[in-house]
Amino acid sequence: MKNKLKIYSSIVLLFIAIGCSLLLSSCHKEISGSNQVGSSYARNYSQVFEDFWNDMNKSYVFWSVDPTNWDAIHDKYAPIFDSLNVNPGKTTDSVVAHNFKEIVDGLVDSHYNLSLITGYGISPSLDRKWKNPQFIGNLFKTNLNALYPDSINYYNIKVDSSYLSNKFVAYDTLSGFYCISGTVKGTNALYLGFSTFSLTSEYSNNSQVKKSLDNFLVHLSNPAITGVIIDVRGNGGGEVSDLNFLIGSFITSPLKIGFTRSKNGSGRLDYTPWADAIVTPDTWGIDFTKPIIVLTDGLSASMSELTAMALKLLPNTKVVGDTTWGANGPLTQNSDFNAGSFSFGNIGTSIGTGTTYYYGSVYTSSTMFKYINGNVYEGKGFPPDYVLKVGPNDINLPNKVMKDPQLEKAISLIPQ
Amino acid sequence: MINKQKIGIYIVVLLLFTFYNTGMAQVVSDDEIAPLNKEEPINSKFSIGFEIGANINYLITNVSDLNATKYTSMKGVNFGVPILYKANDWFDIKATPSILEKNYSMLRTGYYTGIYRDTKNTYLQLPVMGECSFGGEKIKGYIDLGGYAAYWNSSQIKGAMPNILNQPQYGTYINNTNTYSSTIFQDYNAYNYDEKYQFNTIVDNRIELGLIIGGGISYELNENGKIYIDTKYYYATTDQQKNYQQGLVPKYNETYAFSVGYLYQLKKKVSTKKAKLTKKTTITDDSINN
Repeated sequence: MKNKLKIYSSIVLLFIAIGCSLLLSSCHKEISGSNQVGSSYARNYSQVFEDFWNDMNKSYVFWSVDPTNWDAIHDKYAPIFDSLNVNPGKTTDSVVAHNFKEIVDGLVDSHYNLSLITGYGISPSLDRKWKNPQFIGNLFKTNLNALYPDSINYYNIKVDSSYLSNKFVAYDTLSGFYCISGTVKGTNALYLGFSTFSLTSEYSNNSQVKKSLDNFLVHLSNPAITGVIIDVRGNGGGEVSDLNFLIGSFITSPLKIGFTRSKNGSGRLDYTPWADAIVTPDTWGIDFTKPIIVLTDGLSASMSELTAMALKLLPNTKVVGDTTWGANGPLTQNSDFNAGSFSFGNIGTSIGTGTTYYYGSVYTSSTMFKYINGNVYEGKGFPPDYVLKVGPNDINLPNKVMKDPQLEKAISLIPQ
Repeated sequence: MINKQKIGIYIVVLLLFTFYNTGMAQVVSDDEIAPLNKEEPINSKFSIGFEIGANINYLITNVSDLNATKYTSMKGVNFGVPILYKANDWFDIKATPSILEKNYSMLRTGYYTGIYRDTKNTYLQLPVMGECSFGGEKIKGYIDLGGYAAYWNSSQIKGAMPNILNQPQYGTYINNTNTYSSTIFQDYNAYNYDEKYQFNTIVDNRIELGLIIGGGISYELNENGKIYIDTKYYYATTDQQKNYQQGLVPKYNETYAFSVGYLYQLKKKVSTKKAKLTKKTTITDDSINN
């Protein structure tokens, strides 16, 4: 009798176990992911919004430092986009754009740019800059390319009032790239200014640029040189490889400047570990210990900021000018780092051309950069050691004389 | 929607209630009764021991929205101290405070081959199970059913990923074949890491609850102890992440563990006078204590 009870009890327990195992699948939350970026078809505004919102969860890399409440954005705007489905039309395009502008307004990523197929472009960082009366664009309200005496327009027009001697100006008419190197008049200070970070490719492909850069690099090891001025004002950045090319000239051993991290999952805070950000010296690199002055302004962005931050780690560097733009997260294609630029709202693919059309595209960083001091300067900008803001009256003096107070400050910091 | 945490708790409570009501009794035979006026040890209802084993853990999630990415299982080890309460000759209640690894790996494929992240998690786990045994005198089989609570104690991550800000020296190229790169590490230097994972209080849910189904075979060495081989399936019912955002894809552990162990039956000193009085009767905990 007792043995029978044992057997029956065992069988009952076995059935309970099997039953429980069958029930287990209902104990989990639904494990469904969204589609890969750019693969969700959008037939109405609701779907466009949902695709954009989901892709931002996955691809935006600054959620850990961004104050935007993305869930609250969904709660507020999902019903608004639902309502837009009712009366689609031309007027809706501007309403959609207006809503997107509100949605992305507070994002800290200062590379961020949202383009809609309807022709609207939204840059939250630029919008913020325009609201700041001290923003250099507001101060000058003019062609920023002609702003400084280091710009190509300045040199084309006002060469005779240049600060430089032994100068070499290279200008790529095709790309618009320019590079100016030389020695500051009456001093032994080297000067290098350039429009964008495409030094590596221009050095390889443009003989004039090569001469201009060699003019700088050759003199760098000249014992008579008393210091160096690197001018990245008005420079919006460019190729990451230029970091080694330029900074690598000043060092003989690898220089750790900070850390980068990207995403390894679709959750907002699914981050990779922080990877060391390293500048590798050039074969011609020297252990440069003389003063280096980096000129920055509110238009110095991306690689310009990384350059200022990297040079700041050398023993004798000062930054002069204004706080940089605040866009220093490197970019590349989304799939490499599970983060970065993406298109959303797949409208369809043209049978004739094979081109896929999207309602919108987002340009955004693939990785977050943290400086060696632990600060993330995204959305804030890198502050100078010597703050020297300039306005039109500081540069354009009477009798058509032009002056560069920031450059003059830089020159004053280099011993003669 | 079934509340998953409550299910686990209900099952454990139900089992405990069931076993409590099965009559926690033990028959003492004539042979077990010692001479008068002496205190002699008899087998207690409690046994304690140790077990050690290996496991394989799966992270149950969905990565279909990630490009060329998949999760795979990883092996781990487990160690536990089983404490068994013998309710009767076929029902036991077992708790096994354990240290258990629940490891998994994330891999990328195709062009991204080489990017990986091995995650080794250590959990402090307390499973409580009802155990029903069957079989002969020496060799017995048993089935376990219960629930567990665990604390995610530590995590070590090891892997490789592309490093966007560690470019090769100017003039040198990782891929110098003038052809398209076949893997990402021909285009980027790798960043290799092996570091302690820093828990994020917003993201990481360090309390895990779950259900257990298991079974095994024990062999009684003597009246003092037995050895056993044991297999268990741990099914987490709680997400590894806190619900910190809308639309979060959940992550659950599923662990298959295999252990070998030894259980020693604790002894209890019983007054033989009292034992005499209870000859051919049932000795219960209450009667001994009175």
